[in-house]
Amino acid sequence: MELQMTRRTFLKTTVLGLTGLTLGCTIESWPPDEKSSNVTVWINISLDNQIIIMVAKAEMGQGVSTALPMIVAEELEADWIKIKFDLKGEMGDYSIGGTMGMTGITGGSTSISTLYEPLREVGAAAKEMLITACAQRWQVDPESLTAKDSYITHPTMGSISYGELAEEASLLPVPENPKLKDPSEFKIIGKPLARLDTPDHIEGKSVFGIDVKVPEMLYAAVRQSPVFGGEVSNFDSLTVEGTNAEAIVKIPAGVAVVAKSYWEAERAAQSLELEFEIPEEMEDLSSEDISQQLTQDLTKPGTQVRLIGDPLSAMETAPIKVEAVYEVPLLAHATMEPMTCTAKVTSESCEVWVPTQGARIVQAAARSNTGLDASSIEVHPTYLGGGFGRKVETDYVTHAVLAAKAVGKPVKVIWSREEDIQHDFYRPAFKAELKGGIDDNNKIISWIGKSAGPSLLGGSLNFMETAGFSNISYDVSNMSAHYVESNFGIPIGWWRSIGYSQNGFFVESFMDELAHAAGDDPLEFRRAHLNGRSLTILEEVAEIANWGQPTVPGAAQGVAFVPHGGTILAQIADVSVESGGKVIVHKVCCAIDCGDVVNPDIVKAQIEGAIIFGLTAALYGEITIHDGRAKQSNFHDYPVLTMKDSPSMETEIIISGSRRSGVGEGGVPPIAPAVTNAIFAATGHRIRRLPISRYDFI
Amino acid sequence: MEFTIKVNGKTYTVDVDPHKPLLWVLREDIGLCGTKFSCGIGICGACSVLLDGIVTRSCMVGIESVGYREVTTIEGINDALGKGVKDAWIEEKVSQCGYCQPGQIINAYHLLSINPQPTDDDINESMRSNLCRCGTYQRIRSAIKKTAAIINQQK
Repeated sequence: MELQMTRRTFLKTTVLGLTGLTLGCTIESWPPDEKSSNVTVWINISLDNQIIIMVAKAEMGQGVSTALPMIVAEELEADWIKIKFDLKGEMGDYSIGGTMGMTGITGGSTSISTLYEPLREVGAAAKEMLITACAQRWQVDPESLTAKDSYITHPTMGSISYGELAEEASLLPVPENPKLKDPSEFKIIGKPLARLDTPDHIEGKSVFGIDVKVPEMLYAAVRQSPVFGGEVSNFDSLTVEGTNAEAIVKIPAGVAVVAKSYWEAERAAQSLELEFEIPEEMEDLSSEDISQQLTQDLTKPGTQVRLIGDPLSAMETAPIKVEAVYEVPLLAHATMEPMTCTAKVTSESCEVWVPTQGARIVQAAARSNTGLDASSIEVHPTYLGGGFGRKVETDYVTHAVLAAKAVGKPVKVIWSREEDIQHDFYRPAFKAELKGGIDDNNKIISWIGKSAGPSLLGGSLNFMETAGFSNISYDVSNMSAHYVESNFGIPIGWWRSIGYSQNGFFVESFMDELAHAAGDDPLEFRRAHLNGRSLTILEEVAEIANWGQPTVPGAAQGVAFVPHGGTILAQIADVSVESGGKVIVHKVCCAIDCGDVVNPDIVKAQIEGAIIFGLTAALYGEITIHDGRAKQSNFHDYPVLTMKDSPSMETEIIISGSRRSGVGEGGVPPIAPAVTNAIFAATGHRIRRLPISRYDFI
Repeated sequence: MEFTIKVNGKTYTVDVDPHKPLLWVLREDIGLCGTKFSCGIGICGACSVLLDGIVTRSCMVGIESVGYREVTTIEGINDALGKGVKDAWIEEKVSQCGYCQPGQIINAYHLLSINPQPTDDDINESMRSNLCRCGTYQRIRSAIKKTAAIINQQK
């Protein structure tokens, strides 16, 4: 979905006693929304010249706690070395308007693109106020003053720190249209600066959700119905007797076992003999059933999500016709930090400490489980030990709130890895059928696609699952796409890059099949159907990867081009298939155009991370369902790529001057088809169903 | 039961079940939370600590079996080699979410302490059981090599 938003930024100051200058802004979305009229991102300049920039986005590794302060510090002319940040939940005083702001979620690769302009204005306004305060104090022309490295300097009066001016500045009116720097003067934006959060991470000092300490805190382990949709049926007969647990609390689909230590809680949970009432339709459900259901659903007409020209008539005239069906499995997020949340509930208030991608929905979950007003609920966001879309959900928040409420003491819930893998909101299984017609000039004259799988939002809101399927970037004059909504009763959710994660594989595998059917080089074939920024990116990746000359003798190359939102990406993978069938990915090159870049190193890190994340899924990722439950349970049967099997990676950022767009997810979709296309080039074996580990190539 | 263990040069006495894993004693009873829980079955490496200098998965070691062995956690990696590794981690801009990094650093430190000039294969072998979902492996490898190069220069 491309929601067109216009935004206005309002700035206002708050004077907090003698703490200096605190400045915030409001981003108002269109249409106007009363709820978004709060102050959002703040700067706090204390009297001792310490500058703290508040980050009202979740830090889950994607680097907002560095990139957002960089934007503010640039316009503020702050001394970057001394900048500190504070993580704030995106809610209440820190609500942000705009596309994702409506739900307060950090997701969709939107933090930089939605906050870049407002944060520049915040920084610029604060700088102007400090200069005005200095001009008034020294009785000089503001034009004669220069701001640099958190000091203001006058040719004859000398220098004064921002901190010394902060209090006077905070009494001044906020400039409505602060002057922004010309990008050619940037000293911070665009530089590959080190991340602000690394020093604490490597000392083991960072507080993740699992590290929260609250006085008198107890711990809880959870057990949920292994079969999806089940409920505990013998709760009343459960007892803590014979264990070191203090309480057993009913939670949706299971129990939370509370004890003085997590290990005791987990041990007590293991000893419980839980019985579950299971929905009949889930009893025998298997992955085979799901696959068959998807095949069945592909025979239904579905909803038309795209029509250009007349693809059916064009197909009839095509001298070369190609058809293929592709399939992808359920996938777990498997964040390294399992689900965890700490809550304290009294009759008047509730506090929640949590690694979350959406503080506002945490508040809503706490509200519905306590009956308290939103104003009585405080959410303290922590670092996230990985998010990838899993920590948009609030199931684990509900567990902590219910447990804390029941025992009258703060409770930290920690899920075991087994609970985490078996009770995820999975990337849904999907199947797609593609038909293409090519003319004598190797041009695609007809493209007909249909996909089937569950919908995240349901009904007519199918844009999440059809993104990258209904709107391919290739120049095709006759095209249609249909979507059939399926449902299997398995919880599904937002998995890094959402619909693109499967659609990139479908579309780019099929492009490769079309190229081979046309007898064309896969890169040349794509080149003939692209133009503008897209063509530039394809050519760039071909150059850095030396298309046609794999790095390792005997290796083959595969290319994939998958735009994500406004970001254009292409990847080339160098792959060997050993005689035993083992797939080795030697190298992956990526070219990306995501508009102007705040921190190029963080962009590269995100691409590298996305390649590994996507490659893990492509090679091994699969949650299989057996008797209505997830078969996999830990990293032994839901493996994560290790260093040994990781490719070397090279990323080239192309600055085209286009509008800023996201980088957190876009690196994921191209890697699976780049690798499977390379496997085809190496072996002649076309992989139409992921993961790759299903095949032995012998 | 009471147990006295030595962690990062300090002595602690805790009163816990003898089977309680060292991981949870460190996190809950001693208050050192740099050592992380992730898989609970000793295969992801997030809970790595050193026991008398040897890499150990602390989720798999009961407190009763620690005995007099010296426990070193991420908070105690502060000698010249430890600082070198941590500096390299900053220079190579390794961490993303950061959750697995204490375990990665413990393993890298251990590798370099027994093998100051590791080959790529040595690095793969030592680091193969340390999972990172953010995919920071390429940079971890660079940071290990950088540390090794600095050690070599100082010789």
